[in-house]
Amino acid sequence: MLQIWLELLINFFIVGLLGFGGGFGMIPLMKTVTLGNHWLTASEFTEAIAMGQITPGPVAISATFIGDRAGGFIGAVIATFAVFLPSILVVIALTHIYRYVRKIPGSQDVLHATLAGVVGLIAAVTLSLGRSVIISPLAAAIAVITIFGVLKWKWPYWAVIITSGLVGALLLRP
Amino acid sequence: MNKKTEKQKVRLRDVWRVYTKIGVLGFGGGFAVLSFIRTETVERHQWLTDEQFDHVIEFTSFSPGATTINVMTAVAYRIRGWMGVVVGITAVLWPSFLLILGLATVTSMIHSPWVQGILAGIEAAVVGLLVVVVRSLYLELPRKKFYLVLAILAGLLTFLGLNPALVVLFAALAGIVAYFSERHLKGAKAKRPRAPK
Repeated sequence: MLQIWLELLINFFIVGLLGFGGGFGMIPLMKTVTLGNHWLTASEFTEAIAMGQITPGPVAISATFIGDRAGGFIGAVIATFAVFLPSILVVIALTHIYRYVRKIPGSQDVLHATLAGVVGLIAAVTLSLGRSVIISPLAAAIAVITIFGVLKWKWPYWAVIITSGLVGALLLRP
Repeated sequence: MNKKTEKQKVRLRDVWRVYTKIGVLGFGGGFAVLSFIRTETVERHQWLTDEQFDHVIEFTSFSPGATTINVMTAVAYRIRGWMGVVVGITAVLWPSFLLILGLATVTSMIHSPWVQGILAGIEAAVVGLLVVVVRSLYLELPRKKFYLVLAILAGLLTFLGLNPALVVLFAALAGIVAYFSERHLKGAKAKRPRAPK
């Protein structure tokens, strides 16, 4: 167990350190460490992300779910701590040094390039999650309606998740 | 403008109270919650001014991690230093931490087809949400072909199995290289090329 806790600590620290572009930027990294260490299956991982969506607070809280499945309650605490610690330290550092960072020529461009990379990352992860999750016409319909609902009608994320859970319970039971 | 920000020390008890409230009611994460945080910290409690809050949003965009937590860290640090951060972040995270722990336990215990149906529906919706996230993140970037190419390249590399951590580092490196080659091309003409905004 100690081994797993240490792995959770190191891996989720790296996820938190490199997850640019908001909480969703962490999902590709989280997926790699979670599946790479066999903490969860691909479908359980999607479940973890979904749980991070229904609950209030940041989506990165999915780390708690993964940590719990991999290493019990202490695993959950460690994974949560590790995933949020890097950005907290970076933000506090930025509070002191941002006026210098801003003056570094090209800092904005490098940030944008990093974010462009993250866009590609999330797109790729969406595609591979989609292939394992969208296995029926109804699942495809839910995904498409979600896209339009959020973009056109401004449905809140949590409402979309709860509604699709209900639809799934009624129509997607195995 | 508001006198309270400078003079009075914000009580940790208030940080705890306000941050717990945001933790309980802050559904959706990211930008959806930012206006809620602004309402609570700037308008209602006047811990900082509007301009200071805008500044916080600007510089936290340089940090990895969840947008809301970063902004709340910066605000807590500004008003109460390290203690503020420890108290504030614990306060904002414990509700969702306990909730998701509960859900993890429940979903691992119950294997009824109903639960499996619920999860199948939710997972499909998550894929849709991710598409929305890709779109909105992309729209935040300046309209340059370079970023589009970079995004597609990063996507391909990830899809082919390259570690996402490396992809992020490559993208940053590409940004550095592009910046210097662009400046080199423009030569002495433009001494300080800056991104718009």
